[in-house]
Amino acid sequence: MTQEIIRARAQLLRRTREFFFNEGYIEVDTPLLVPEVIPEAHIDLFETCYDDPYDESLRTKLYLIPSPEVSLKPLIGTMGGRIFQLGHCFRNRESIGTHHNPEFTMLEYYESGVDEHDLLRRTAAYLRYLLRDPNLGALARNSGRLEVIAREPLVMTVAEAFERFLGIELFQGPDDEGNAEALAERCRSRGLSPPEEAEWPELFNYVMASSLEPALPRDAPVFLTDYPVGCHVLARRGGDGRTRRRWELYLCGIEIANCFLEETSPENVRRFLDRQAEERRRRGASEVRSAESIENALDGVSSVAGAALGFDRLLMCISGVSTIEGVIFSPLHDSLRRR
Amino acid sequence: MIRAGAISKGVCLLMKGDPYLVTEREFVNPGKGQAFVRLKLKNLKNGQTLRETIKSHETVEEAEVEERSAQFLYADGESFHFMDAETYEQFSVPIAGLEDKTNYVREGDTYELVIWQGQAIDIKLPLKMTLTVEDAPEALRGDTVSGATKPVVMETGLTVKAPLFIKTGDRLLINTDTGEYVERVTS
Repeated sequence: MTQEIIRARAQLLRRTREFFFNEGYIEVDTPLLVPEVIPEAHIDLFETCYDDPYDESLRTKLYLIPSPEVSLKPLIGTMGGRIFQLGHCFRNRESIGTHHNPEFTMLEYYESGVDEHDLLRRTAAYLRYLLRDPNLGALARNSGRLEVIAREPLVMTVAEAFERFLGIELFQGPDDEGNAEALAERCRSRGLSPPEEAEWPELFNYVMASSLEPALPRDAPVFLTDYPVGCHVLARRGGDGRTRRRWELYLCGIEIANCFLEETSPENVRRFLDRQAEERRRRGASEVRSAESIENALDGVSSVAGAALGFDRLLMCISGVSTIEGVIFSPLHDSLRRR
Repeated sequence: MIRAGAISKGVCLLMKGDPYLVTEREFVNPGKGQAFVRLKLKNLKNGQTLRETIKSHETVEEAEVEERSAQFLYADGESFHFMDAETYEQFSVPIAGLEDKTNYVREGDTYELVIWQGQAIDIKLPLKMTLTVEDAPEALRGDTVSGATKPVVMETGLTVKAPLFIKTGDRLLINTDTGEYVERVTS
């Protein structure tokens, strides 16, 4: 990391806090080391132990958080209002690369009484606010990214993006959701080679990774909204029954942020947790202790929207530095190579 | 066999019977779904480019290759030319798909070549390389905000964005993967 980027990183941390303070948010710094997590099928964890000082047989398994949501959801559920956390998160067994380091910085923000579209507008305002900082603005101008990030965002549903950039109908008819073979056939007719016998979520993720993400415009922020209900996440279902109230933000072709109108029904959260546990077993992933409290964390709350934003990736976008190792202190693969 | 997630740039794969060199590799993990690896590959038989997206836990067959040290002589429009300094045996590596490497080969320097079935197919570059600045324009007065950079031209013809204090003749450490400035080498 160059000295310029070290200074820019400090400025980005400062302006981020400033923006959220100005918007009435409270900063919280919940634990990075936790005894239970929200198990997600495709996220592997760093595990460690707390050893009792007087009884060697007493060891408590602890995890480094993959995201602070396990603490933030119960908090926003009880206190309401607006909270954010800006801190480190950890994910194991990910290939280290251009956009991934096992330890990274995440900005996570929750707001009660609003929906995902309100948080979309807040996020767009946050980006514009950052660029008003003279140093960050100059850095973005220098990297040729100022106009790109400052431009009016492109907001479209995932189905619209499939249609517009790939010429593929994501849903055909109202009952089409979940029909993987029909979608695979439509992909093949457009020249894609999806994996054989893939289930719906896998097929969808394949098309996203192989075709849609590379085809998204890079000259403006892109918000993709209304993800298919077949992608099981803790976001509420939309009124049409086949989408979820979720968006993702792509900046300069990189996935930067993810937002849900949070699922509040204990029954639906329970169903999600069971599904994830089953998927983990199928995948042969280690068993993790699930935070049971999360089931009722938002019970009775009318609406909460929550977003998670990759802080390091945002700095990459602003500065034009093309790898995450150029914007973080001591990237892990550098230190692993030295051993 | 190799796990798709473990594939890196420069690895040679056998796919559908043809040998392919990985020229770009990006790991995609949405977190909310399974991870994929996006690859850009060069067909070593016909030079054509192929893009593939593979689930990161799937396995792919690796092509058997060997490595050999050789000295860089010159590049023409089509190939890089090398010579084994001991046996004087000459090798040519087709440039197609490896255009970026033009920026990192220096006459007389020794590199590791990747050989597949007797044919040199790729040049292995160190992750970071020291290059000398051939032309650095004077920075404009007053342009001192944090993060300000200027384009400088290196001895190999590579243009990098470097901090304003960099001068002609400075030696810079460059990331050969990204073509980005890492630091000024002072020793």
